[in-house]
Amino acid sequence: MPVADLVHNLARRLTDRRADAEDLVQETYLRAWAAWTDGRRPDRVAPWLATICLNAGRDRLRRTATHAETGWDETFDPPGPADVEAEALGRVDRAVIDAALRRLPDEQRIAITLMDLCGFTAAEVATITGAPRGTVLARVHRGRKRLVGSIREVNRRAP
Amino acid sequence: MRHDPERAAATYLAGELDRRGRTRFERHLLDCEDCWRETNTARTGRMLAESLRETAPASLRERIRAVATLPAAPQPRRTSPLWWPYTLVAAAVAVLVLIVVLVPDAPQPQPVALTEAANLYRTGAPQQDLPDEQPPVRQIDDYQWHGSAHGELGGLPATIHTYTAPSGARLLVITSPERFPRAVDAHEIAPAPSWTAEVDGTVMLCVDQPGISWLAIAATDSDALTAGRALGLVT
Repeated sequence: MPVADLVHNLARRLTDRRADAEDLVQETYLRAWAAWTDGRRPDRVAPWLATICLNAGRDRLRRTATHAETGWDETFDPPGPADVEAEALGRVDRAVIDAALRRLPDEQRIAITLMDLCGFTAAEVATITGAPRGTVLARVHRGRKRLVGSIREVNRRAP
Repeated sequence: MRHDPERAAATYLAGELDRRGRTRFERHLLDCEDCWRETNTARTGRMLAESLRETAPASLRERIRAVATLPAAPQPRRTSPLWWPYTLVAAAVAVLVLIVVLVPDAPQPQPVALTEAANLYRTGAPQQDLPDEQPPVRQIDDYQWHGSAHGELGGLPATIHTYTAPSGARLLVITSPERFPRAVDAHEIAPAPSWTAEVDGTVMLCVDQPGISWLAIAATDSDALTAGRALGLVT
């Protein structure tokens, strides 16, 4: 995935509006430049920019104070039914999926974004987020299950 | 070791099991309702999340390109009401520096045909009703032929054969009458001219034969090599 797409996908999940996402992408490149002039030279560009974008996104959240951080939810209620209606879920509108992803606890949403949308490995996500690899895997796994549970709930309520 | 369906499914779906471990877990899946449910649900969740992937809008790319030509300026204060114009200027410098200075350290971009092929692998190739199209083989190890489609990859005509494993893992075999471009950092393998490379998180194996070029795409080296062997392309 091109790096610009990667940063864009990450920024989209860290902000509520497209315009904010584009600002965040630009801020990411600004910070990258500042870091570069300080002599920091990454081995690989993509994880480095993702880290910068993640930090910039968190700073924006703190500044705006309109977003209530939920933190890492260790107490997850797994979805009930055993069978997943994958085909029906596959037809769900993107906006519904996007909303469900945004409702996830921050750490799960970020881990899923980095792995499933940006294509980083668990080890790379661990480096970017500073969390142990096992924790990353747990966050991604529980987040995915929670996402399915949320979509299933939307389908159940649909007339 | 304690039976932990959640951890086992998470490790399996992250592609962190070796071939033997993967085979063992896939056999176990057929006999364990908990692991099956964990794997199936999380795989569906991954599919849902992946469906949200999007490319950066053209407006953003254009903005970056446009500001790259502006002159340098001091870093703006974020609280200034004139923050945005200053940001544009500073971003120009940032982009310029990233392009001119940083790019040599960054990986060279892969050919478009290969990045498009990798994207197809991740998102799933479209399936067409092609009654006359037969796959080169119907089965590659655990992978069964799922369907075929015609299309273009970076302007190259291509026939894409999709294979899927019970785990949901995917394997693509793509043929083209024209040669696929060589990947950046590709490794030569026998018989020449053949190569393998990692492209955008996938493993590609390419073999050129007279009149046809083969490209196998998998998640791991071993699966790509298995495909090459099943097709009689490599030994």
